[in-house]
Amino acid sequence: MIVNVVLYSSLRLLLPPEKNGKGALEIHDQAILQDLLDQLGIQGEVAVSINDEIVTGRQMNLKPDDTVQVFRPVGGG
Amino acid sequence: MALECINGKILHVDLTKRTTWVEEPPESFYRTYGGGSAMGLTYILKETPKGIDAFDPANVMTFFTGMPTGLLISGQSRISVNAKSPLTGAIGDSQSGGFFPARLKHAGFDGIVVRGKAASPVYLWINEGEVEIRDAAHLWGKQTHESEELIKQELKDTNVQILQIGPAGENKVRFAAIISMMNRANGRTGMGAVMGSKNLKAIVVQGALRKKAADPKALTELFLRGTKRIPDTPSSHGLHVDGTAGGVGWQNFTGGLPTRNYNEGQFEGHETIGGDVMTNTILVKRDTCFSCTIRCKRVVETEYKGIKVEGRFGGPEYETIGTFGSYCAISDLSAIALANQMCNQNGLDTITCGATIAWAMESFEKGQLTLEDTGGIDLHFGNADAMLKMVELIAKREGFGNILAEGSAKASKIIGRGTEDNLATAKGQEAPAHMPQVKRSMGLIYAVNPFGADHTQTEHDGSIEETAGEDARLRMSQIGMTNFIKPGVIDKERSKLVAVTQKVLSCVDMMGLCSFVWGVGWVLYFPAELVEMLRAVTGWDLSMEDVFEYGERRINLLRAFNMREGFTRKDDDLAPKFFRPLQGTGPSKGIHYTREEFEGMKDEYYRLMGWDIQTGNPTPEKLAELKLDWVVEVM
Ligand code: SF4
Repeated sequence: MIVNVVLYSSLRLLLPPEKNGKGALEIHDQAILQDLLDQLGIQGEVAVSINDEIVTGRQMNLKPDDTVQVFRPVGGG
Repeated sequence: MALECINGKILHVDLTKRTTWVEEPPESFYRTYGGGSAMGLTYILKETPKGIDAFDPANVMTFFTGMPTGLLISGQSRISVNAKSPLTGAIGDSQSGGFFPARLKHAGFDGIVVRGKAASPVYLWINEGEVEIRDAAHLWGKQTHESEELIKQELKDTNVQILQIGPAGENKVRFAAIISMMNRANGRTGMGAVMGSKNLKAIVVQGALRKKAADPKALTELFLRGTKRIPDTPSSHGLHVDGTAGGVGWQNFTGGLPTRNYNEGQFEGHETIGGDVMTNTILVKRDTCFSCTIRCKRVVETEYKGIKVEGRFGGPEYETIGTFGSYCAISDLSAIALANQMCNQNGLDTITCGATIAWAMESFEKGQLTLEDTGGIDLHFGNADAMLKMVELIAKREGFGNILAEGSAKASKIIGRGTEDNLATAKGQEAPAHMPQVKRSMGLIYAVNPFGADHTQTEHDGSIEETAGEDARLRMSQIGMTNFIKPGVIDKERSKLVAVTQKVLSCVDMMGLCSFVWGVGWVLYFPAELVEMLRAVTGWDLSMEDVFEYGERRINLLRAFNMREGFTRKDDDLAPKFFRPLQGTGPSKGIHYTREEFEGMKDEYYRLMGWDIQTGNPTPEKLAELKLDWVVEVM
């Protein structure tokens, strides 16, 4: 299936530069969120939303056309 | 063996008498107060007379580094500046990084205490223990880059480090900053104006007196461990790649990007002002603070309507993008970068400056301010030219800028006409770009923080909500926070988050540490490693309990100053705006505090701090417990 990903901040560097963090990704039909994060090479503490809802765990099933956004939340600045 | 991480020397300066002397306090002084504002407050509380005006020469001003400052590890080169604040009337407190703090240590001093007022402008020249008060009449009126060049020529040394004020500080703009490297700011609470009131233009340092950790091997190991970790730590790597502004997208997504003077939480123009856009368009280089391998500082070059934005003035942080961007509904990154440059040239706090202009814009939109008031400047939201014009006028205290130079809270008292209703302040200081409507504990720390609304004094809510990941949970557990609560819900845990993490970050501040490196969540090192580092630096047998105690001591000293000035629980409040439903779009729409839940959060916070719930002030018992018995006597 194909899912849409939007990677914010430095995470966007995980996709080719011309994509600027936005892309459609092919992933196996039984994929859970963690599989997608692994496929993208995302490690460490990030915040994730699926179809605009922030999610807690990493085990939920993905559906075709889901939009997964991955953020680096900020505490200060 | 004597402590080798410090000089054991504090420089005292009396500007009125034009004299200097050196104090060599015992190790116990360092063991008790650590450094930073805790050390500064020991002088301020004993010597600053109660109830004076912040511009009175008797307002004692202190500059203190911490124990690790100047050693070879990331995130240790910071300095705290304290004095009574001309913006809030409470204690002023502001930190900055860069190279000046480490160089001050290498120049032979751990801190400086400044008293009085010079008869004419002067600067301090400190070179490996030698101190001179020099004439600065030729520097008065100059912007930071001009003074920087003149001082370096005069001293025939291009590597001196300079902490200085610009014209805004000289003109006593109540939110004037102190600037170093032309791009780092002790921004908040108007410490630059206090320096200006003393006719002190700059402090210049040079030296190579290297300090040593008690266990240099352990410190080096920790340094390398952290550096290796950066590429796999999204928060630290993100700071390196896109700077603090990398968070704009996240803040907007959660409805937490203050928009149109804090009336909304999502900005339609957010996609053109984020850190990624900055990196892809105007970023030319990344910069750092002494010995820090994160390198989160921006260097940008661009142009706005024919005016060049130069790399030497750095680049805007997230806060600056918020206040000059979304607060004012401006989506032109070059205009924001120019506003940032003007603040660094003139010595202005970008947060209060942008937020005060946004407050004026809301008042203008509502017709409470007219073209007659503003001198013909069209202050509608989104007008970048008007925003930039106001920055210039504020620094010069000219025209309507003279009123805005008072900060929004004092300006609203001058103008009246209902403009008080548009404030987004706590204790008279403008709220930074982290919204209490989304981060539900933020309003509490904005209200109870001794020096007004500030986002750096506690861990933000994401770390104790159910959405927190394993890394955040591990960090929080190391400081005793193990309950994770529903996002958005007001709960006792929020008060605990404030009380507990305020102590940790207070210790981080007083030790001269950077909270992006040594804070709690979303940073490079874990809380347990903070203890490990302080042990390696000092050789003292420290634990997490000591971290809490240090932090608590600083908070109580700051609160004691306010208590003496007559501050009580009723001053720990937020502007009415925070009690009205948020407008706009996104998940934060409609959210606000009720008076009851807000006062309930305060009750719990005071209880956890061991203070009097009625007055919100430290009790004599609490002060005694923190070895601050002497404070009771100077009240
Ligand atoms: S993280 Fe950034 S602000 Fe902190 S010490 Fe490093 S370069 Fe300076």
